Amino acid sequence: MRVEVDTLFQVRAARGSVVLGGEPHVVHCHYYNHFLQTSIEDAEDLYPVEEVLVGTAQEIGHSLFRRLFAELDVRDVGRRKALVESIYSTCGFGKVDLGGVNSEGGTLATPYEHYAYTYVATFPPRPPHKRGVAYFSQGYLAGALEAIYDLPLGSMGSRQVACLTKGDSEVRWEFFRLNHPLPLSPSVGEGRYEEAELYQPSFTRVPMRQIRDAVLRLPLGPDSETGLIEAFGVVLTRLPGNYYSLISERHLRRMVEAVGPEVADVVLDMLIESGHVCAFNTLGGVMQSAEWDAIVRPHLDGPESWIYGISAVLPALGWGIVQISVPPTPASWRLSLKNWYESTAIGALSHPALDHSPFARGLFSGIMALVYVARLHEQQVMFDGALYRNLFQNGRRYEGTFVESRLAGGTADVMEVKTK
Amino acid sequence: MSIWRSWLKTLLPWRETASASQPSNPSESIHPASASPLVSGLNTSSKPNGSSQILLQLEYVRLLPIKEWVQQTVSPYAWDRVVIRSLSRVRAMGLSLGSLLNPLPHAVVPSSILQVILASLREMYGIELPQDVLYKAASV
Repeated sequence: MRVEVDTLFQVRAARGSVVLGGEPHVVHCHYYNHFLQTSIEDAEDLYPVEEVLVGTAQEIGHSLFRRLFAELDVRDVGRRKALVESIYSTCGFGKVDLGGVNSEGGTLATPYEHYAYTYVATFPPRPPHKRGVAYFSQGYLAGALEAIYDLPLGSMGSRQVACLTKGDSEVRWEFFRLNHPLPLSPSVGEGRYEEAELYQPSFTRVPMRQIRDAVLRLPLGPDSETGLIEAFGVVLTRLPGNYYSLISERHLRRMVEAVGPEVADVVLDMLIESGHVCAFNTLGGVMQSAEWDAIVRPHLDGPESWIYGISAVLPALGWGIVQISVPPTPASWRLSLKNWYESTAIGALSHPALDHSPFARGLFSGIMALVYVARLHEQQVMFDGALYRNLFQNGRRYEGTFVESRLAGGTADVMEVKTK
Repeated sequence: MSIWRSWLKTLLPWRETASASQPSNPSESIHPASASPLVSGLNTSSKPNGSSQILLQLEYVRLLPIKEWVQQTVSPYAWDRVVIRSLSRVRAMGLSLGSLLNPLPHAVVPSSILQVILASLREMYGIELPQDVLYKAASV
């Protein structure tokens, strides 16, 4: 059964989001994915990180497919499996064949899984004692299996038993029914969403909506053999944004429980750093791509126009809407975020540990650094360690802070990025 | 999009011959350093070098030179990662999170804590500290 998954994604222009099965999906690159996951995995001696990395994916996989099967009225197990397989590839997670599993579980194996494949292609070898890196797929597929067989959330256990990062020729997971369900919660879905128009500043000729719409039409599809999305010099995924938001939130909470409140700053710092990593690799790649040259660059002139241009791209990545009502300068940038995916997800929780989006703080500081320090508007640059250290070294060039935050009880997300 | 298609597959030549029944770690030579901007250019190793063995015979060492080298050479956030990775073992040895995160210039710690830090660096980045950094740490 061939499923045209692309048509199932719903673009919600007024929210800056792209939704599938009730789950907002966001585009990120493998550097960001690994940085965030590894930052959490580093704490494995302090608390069981699988509960966060796998459990959260299971919640989202279950909620997503349960809703999607209902929306499409797909009841047949074979059709449900085909839909999951197609979505898995369309989102850039890799390739998976669900033929070997049933309602009791079973084994799934693939040579192509985003986290595992890109880890061995990019990073130094992991120590032999460490488990495989395919946490997300493990949980996502466990949740999908529960949905396929109309099982309750948390009833399917899972473990990863082989990984490319361990020298195996494939990634392999085992799934099995649990006597006592895992304590998981349904996904927050579209969360505490808000709506707005993408603002067109009067002080720039950069056509914000035109750029957003053009990027939405870009064919960011997977390779037919690997199910991986290669674009902008990185490997992309369209992952449910709630996954990133909730693992960040839960990691902070678990760390504070394990160590004490004094650890919060260092955890936040790592989450901010994830924004730098994303700006540097994903957005840096976008701003030096052929697609950027074709779609955006004809509208650009000075450095500020590059900030408008990349801001117009973000809603097409599903991250929310960036509103710029005051022209940025090399010294500062004030911006509003509408339906920012991290705030929207975490805002749906009661008493969250995060009171703002640390990812946004790093991201928009990173954009400023790319434009005003790396001067992307003037030159092609090499995205290497030397440039990264120059932009984000101790005493970072720019720092983002929330002037107002929805997660702290405010009515809006308003940020300022300033030179340090 | 076709211009992006082929580069990723070329990064994994070892995968074609790896055996599922006898998993083994890929050698470092097949990892393109240029694809790993945050760790490229470092001297990587999976085993302790001789100078670190000598240093570990000392009773106390300073952490600040190590932190500075890690931040400047590996990445700005690398020390934070090392701290989190080492935290459970270091706390059991009586050192606080704050002392580890922000070591003072003349503050010293038992060399057993240095062993934990070095093990974390080895595990996370596959790196060994250069001799000059180790000697700076030893100059208490």
